[in-house]
Amino acid sequence: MRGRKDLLLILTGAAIAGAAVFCLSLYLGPEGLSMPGDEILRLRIMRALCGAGTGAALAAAGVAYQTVLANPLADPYLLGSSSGAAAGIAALSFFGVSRAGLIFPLTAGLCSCLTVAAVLKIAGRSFSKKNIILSGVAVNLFLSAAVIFMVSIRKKEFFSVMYFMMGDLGETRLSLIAAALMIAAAGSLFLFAKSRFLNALAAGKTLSRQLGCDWKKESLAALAAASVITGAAVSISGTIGFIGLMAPHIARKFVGSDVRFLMPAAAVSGAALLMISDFAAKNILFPQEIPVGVITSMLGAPFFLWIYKK
Amino acid sequence: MLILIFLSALIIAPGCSSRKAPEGLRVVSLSPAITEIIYAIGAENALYGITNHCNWPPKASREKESVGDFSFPSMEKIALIQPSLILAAGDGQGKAISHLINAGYDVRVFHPADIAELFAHIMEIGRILGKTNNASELVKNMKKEISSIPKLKNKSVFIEVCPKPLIAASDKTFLSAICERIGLRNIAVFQNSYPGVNAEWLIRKKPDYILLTGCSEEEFRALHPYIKNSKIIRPSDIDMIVRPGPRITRGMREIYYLAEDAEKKQ
Amino acid sequence: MIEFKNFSAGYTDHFVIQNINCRLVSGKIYALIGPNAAGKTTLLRSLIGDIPRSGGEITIDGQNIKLFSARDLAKKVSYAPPEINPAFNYSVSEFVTMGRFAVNRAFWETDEDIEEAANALITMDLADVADKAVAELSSGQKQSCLLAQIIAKNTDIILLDEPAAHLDIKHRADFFRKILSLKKNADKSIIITFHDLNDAINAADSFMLLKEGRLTACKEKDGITGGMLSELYGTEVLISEFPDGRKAVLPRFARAENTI
Repeated sequence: MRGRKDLLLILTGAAIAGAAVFCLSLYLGPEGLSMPGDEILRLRIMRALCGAGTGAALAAAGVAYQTVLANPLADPYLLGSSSGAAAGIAALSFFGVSRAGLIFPLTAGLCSCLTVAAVLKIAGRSFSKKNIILSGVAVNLFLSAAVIFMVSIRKKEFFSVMYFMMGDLGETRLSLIAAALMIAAAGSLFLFAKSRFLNALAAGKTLSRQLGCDWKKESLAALAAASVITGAAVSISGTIGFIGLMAPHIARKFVGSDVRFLMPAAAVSGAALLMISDFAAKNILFPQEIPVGVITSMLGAPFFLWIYKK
Repeated sequence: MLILIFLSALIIAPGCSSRKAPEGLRVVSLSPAITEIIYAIGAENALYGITNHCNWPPKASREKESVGDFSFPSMEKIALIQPSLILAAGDGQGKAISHLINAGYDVRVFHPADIAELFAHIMEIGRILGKTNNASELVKNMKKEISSIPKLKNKSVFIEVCPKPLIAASDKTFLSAICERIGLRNIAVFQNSYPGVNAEWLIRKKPDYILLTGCSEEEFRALHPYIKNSKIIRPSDIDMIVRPGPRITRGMREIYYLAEDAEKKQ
Repeated sequence: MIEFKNFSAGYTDHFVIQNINCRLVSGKIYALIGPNAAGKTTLLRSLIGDIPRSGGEITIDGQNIKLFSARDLAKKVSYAPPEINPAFNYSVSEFVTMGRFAVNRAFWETDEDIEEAANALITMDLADVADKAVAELSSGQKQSCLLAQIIAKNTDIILLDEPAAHLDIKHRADFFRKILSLKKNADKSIIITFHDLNDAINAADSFMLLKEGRLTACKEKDGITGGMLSELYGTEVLISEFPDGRKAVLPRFARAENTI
């Protein structure tokens, strides 16, 4: 059995890898490695912070969703969790609430909780793999339509909302980033502390019961935490697909499925994956920019099919 | 019940088709700029439909019926007006225009690339609506107005359309052309008209001015705290600079003076 | 000791098991048998609180299980389903050690936890595959994993739901040999549902006969006759005994013209 020492080893390795990608994203630009000017460096720090935070949060939520539902296809995006959060934020903007402080991430978290609850309710008691994904997709489509409806009434924010729906790491308001990342960190720590419960839940309803885990209570708590984390991530970066699907699977290849090791490894994979995707989004057509969600979906959709076929 | 609907359809349908086409020109304007031109040359009697966005002159929206949104006008509303001519702006209306053409309407698109083309378009609209004299009078006045606006020397500009994501008006736009005319060179040289661009690139290009058309200065500064090296200018009425219409001269004058003031403040 | 008192359970639309009354003592293997859909699995899962109770009660050592927390119940009762399909690549040793979660919930396992798990792996002959993923094992080995997890948990009551359904004859023999030694060494009450009555009659001490959700009999092995089994399953069944004490339960396939 692995223990504290292994976790320390994994954490050290992950921290080094994460820091390397973070630094690279600061000094690597369209002209190659260089020392950027003060303003550009600050801009890149903000962007890397957004990318790393959002990526890690989505990956942590992905680990929780996959483990609790014992479903390797689960992901904040496919479960409708992200769209729920996005719809909440679109509604807040629609009613003219200013984008600051805790209200945005918290509302997004709440909407994301409600959406996941609805998706699971629609999918039915059995929680079968396909049912959950199908009802997630249906709820996703409904919420995207609802957002477009709201945009149609207020024509002005069309571009912003379109980018929001496809993911955008251009947020620079520190207060918003700090508030959202704090919520995401709190939620992730809660899930990490519950690692062994999540392991038990991964065995399914009946087996988790025989392991002494109150299945209903613990899975509700974990799903709620994962949804709040997703909401926080969406409130700064919009809906970015498939990071929460890919990062846990990549991490599993290295550290196995035990959530105590998987959670930190997946968080770092998610952070790195999103920073790299954003680098591509910024530089493929430089100086034109494409929404980062386009890149992650182009990577993630084939990945999804691969997991699905496996 | 069904039979009743069917019968009433039979009775109403011939009535519809036999209604006589109206005399004279019936124009629908799908562009706020064209609506302004029509009023400026005194041809508004032929105007039967405008869009929700046509707010100048203020009386236009009171007098004329709206056919809905600029990009997605209501086909049914247009059919009810039975226009003999539809004037459109083209940009962002591709789908609506092709629908209208397929439906058999006479659609003319006026999408000026620069001021010379705008003048030609005003003349053309005047000719179509039988107000040639008024149109040439308008063009003459506008030319005089523009020639009185001084030129800035060798300055560059970034034209913002949306602050987040950052979207530019490229050198392919009319907006860019009017800036050029008062001596502001657009730094955004792109194939498409409104590309999403990278904030790093904007910092590095250091344009002398950033012309805001999509948000307030306060908003822009909050969203882009690291863009410091450019002077920000924001016209009081964005419509005057984004609409290729008669008020463009005032818009150009305002941009010039805003730029000059910003220069002096330095 | 487990006692069912007028116990009924099932989902709201229909009760799957009804008015169960019986008393089970420790140190014995009980065979829970009956036709398909008689409610065998439901009865087992009721004991771990996985099926909604609709009437009566179950007590363990005199305490109503309704009053137990999930964790306290798990410390008394273990359950193994007929098969497992793990969604992720948990290793065998991780899977078996999870059994200790019911005992110790701290973030890290104690030395005792690790030792118990290691012993369970050895008992079930899984030490060689300890680092393999559970999902990659054969059906027999998966069943061994489940039992190893239960041994690591060390509960007084063990419920096995058709454990031998997917095993070949050798693995079946090995498996039940281990169950018998578990009973002998540790004084457990073990309830097993059987698909194959030959296994049941050779492994169990007592029989619980379940038909259409009702317990029709709860008897020592010696009290079970071919006639009772024939009635339970609705087909003619014969029990025969061999000189060495082993027994066989035989259904009749051919139409027996002579005897009628």
